[in-house]
Amino acid sequence: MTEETSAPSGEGPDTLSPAEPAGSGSLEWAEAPASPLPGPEASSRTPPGPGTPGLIAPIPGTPRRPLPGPESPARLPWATALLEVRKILAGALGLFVVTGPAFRYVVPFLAVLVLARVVQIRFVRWWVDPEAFVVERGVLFRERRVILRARVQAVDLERKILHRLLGLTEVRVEALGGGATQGALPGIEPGWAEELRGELLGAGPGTGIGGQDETRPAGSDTAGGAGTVADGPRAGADAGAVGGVETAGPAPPDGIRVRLTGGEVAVAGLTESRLGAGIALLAVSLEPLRQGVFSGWFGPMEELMPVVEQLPWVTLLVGFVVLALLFSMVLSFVLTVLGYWNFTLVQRGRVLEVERGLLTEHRDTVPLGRIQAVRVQENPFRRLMGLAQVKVVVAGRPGGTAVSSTNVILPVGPRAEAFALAARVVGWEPPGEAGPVPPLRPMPEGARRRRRTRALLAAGVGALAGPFLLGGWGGRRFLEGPVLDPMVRGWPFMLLGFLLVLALGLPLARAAWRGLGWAELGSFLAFREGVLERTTTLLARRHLQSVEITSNPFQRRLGLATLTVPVARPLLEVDPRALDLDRADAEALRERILAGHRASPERRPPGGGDGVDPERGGKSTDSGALGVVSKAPEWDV
Amino acid sequence: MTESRAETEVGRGPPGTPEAQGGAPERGMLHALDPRVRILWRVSAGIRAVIWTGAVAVAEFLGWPRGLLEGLLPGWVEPGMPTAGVALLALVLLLVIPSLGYRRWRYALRDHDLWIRKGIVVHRVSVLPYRRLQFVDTRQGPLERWMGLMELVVHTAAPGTSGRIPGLAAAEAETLREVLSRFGPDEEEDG
Repeated sequence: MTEETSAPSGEGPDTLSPAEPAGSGSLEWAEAPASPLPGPEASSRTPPGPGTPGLIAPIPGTPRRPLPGPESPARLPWATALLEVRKILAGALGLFVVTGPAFRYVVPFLAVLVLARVVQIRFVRWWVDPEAFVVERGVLFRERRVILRARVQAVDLERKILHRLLGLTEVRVEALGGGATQGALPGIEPGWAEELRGELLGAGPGTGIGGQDETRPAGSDTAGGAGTVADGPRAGADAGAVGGVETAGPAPPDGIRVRLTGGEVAVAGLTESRLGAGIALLAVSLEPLRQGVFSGWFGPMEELMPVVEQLPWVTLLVGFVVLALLFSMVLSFVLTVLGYWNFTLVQRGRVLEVERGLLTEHRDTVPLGRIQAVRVQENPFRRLMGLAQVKVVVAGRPGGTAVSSTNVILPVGPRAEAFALAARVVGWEPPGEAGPVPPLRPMPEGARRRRRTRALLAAGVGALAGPFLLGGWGGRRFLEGPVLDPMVRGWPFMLLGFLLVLALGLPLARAAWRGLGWAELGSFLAFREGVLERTTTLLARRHLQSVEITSNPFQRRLGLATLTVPVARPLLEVDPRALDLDRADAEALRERILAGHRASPERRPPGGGDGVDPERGGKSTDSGALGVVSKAPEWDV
Repeated sequence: MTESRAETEVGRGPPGTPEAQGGAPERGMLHALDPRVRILWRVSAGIRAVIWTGAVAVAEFLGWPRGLLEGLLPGWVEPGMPTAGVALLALVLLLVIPSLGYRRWRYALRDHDLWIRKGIVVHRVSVLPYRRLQFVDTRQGPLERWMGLMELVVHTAAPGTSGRIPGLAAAEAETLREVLSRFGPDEEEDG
């Protein structure tokens, strides 16, 4: 265990409530508010409960049990095997529908599969030791996965309806490395799940103790260490709290706390736009519709289809789009409401906890220091209403754009509040009265020209397509006749196509350019992009893993470049980036970021805050090996 | 392109870095890859070219997609022309691309970070702080072993980071690997 290392590191100012040491292992949080007795063995775990009673309480009726240790590993309960068997059977049902009577040949294989899965599940053993969370599995080939507490990125609990019926909780312990969850337990006793979450993140050394030296190898560079204080007092209070492990007690008075009402969740659902999903759903449902599958249910449909097929296809296209929009609205409304029902976000010490879900309950926990970046997303609907969504980027978790994502920390909220939350989560202190929305600088004129050029190119394509798409008669002539003739006859349609696309494209180009922006806010960076849906990414400089500048020929022609700041992120997420910066600006910005990154005090060992970059000191010893030039080069500003 | 733009390091090395004249990797110098990497690239491009040309030839002369292609290809296309075309294109690319790539490829060991420039069409400059390096690999394929070349791959915690230096002389790559892996996060903490 690494508690020892935290003590001498003396990261003073980040203690939250020193009067509140950890509770002992068997402390019941719900019943023992504000009376934390330092247990005999003074486990460093934090009881997440007392500070905010009633917000995220342990699942009722689940007494907490001491976690299994190495000497007494736990197995997954039989009910979990049942859960897994159900998944196989659900697949088999699909197979049955497809194969019909031939299904009986599959049955023996299915039986083997089910048996194998049950055995597999029963062979899983897990426990927690002072350094790590361990899962052992495998029947013939034993595999033991050891996730060091220091490497735990997030702990997410999930209870689907069946889990709830069977009294189980699924646990996902996220660590770095690939897209898949590193430590997954498909179902354990809820009491243990809660306990595990508290143990690994509540105040575990993973995120706290020695925030400096342990967390960085994990790549996430926990906000730990005294240095964060330099980023502003808030950073010290929120993120910097990481250093003071034992002190992480109940949420501080100004801790983050968000609770959405049913109405707000409904607003989130109504303003969630999932056009892609809607189109897919519509396309999938159109075919059976056309074949009259539902004609028994919807009588008039059958008479309707021939009429529909007579319509000109532009009308059809418009109808399709409208229908797709409707579908997507209904779909995303339902998914959002189910996913975010009872959405509650609480900061407890240095972890953020999200509780949400109507049918499937989620309890997601991530330490503030593990959050690499925050994204404020404003889709067109929400922009009209002055609303926004907030998402975090956490390494190890699944990324992507699922409707109700684990990474969302605010499904919908007033824009200013969303930005304020984002700022708090990354530790950025908005200066003065300016408000929490970071003031962004626009991209150079060239960026606007690029987008305008794209609109013109698209209009050109529109001109070529015009006669075919709009032209009916003229278009057909264009295909059949000699070249000159259709040009003569088709030109009104070419013009029309050109103008139509241009009329759509130019405003979009303008929107795309206006959507771009960047800002350097002390030791924080903000980038924004997006044509219709704007995404503002806010991150602390210290989370960068490298800096890349790319430029394609079109950008080079206009003196532009894209600056990307790769962070430890899920594979499906996009790295923070500034599109189409002025190239010289991009290079200067990169050098400033890198210089600030290495000079930032949080990187300094406790004793070495004398302005000497510890790295440089360490490096000079290596110089010999490289025959190093030790003068400071020009770019080292 | 104006002068001021040409001077930015996307076109050159980082400002103030002298170009190294071969030899072991040295800090503060701008290094090119080992010139033999062009041969390596040509050989592997050649293998790919043979495979592609072969595939097109098989498709064309065994007549399998004839029916498919018939309508698509204009009338002046004679038998053998698709294969010859692919072979010619592959040859041209094989001759041109490695030289261009070699000319673009540079790396520099700056004081605090590894600076890598590459990319023929899309120019890319990656800067990786030493302290962010998670691990450093060297890789050698059969061709590379034969030529005494080695590839160095540098990993950070970010999946989007591309730290890869191909075509280093084997000894050079190993020196570099040892040196870079010594800048682990831990060392920095101790320093």
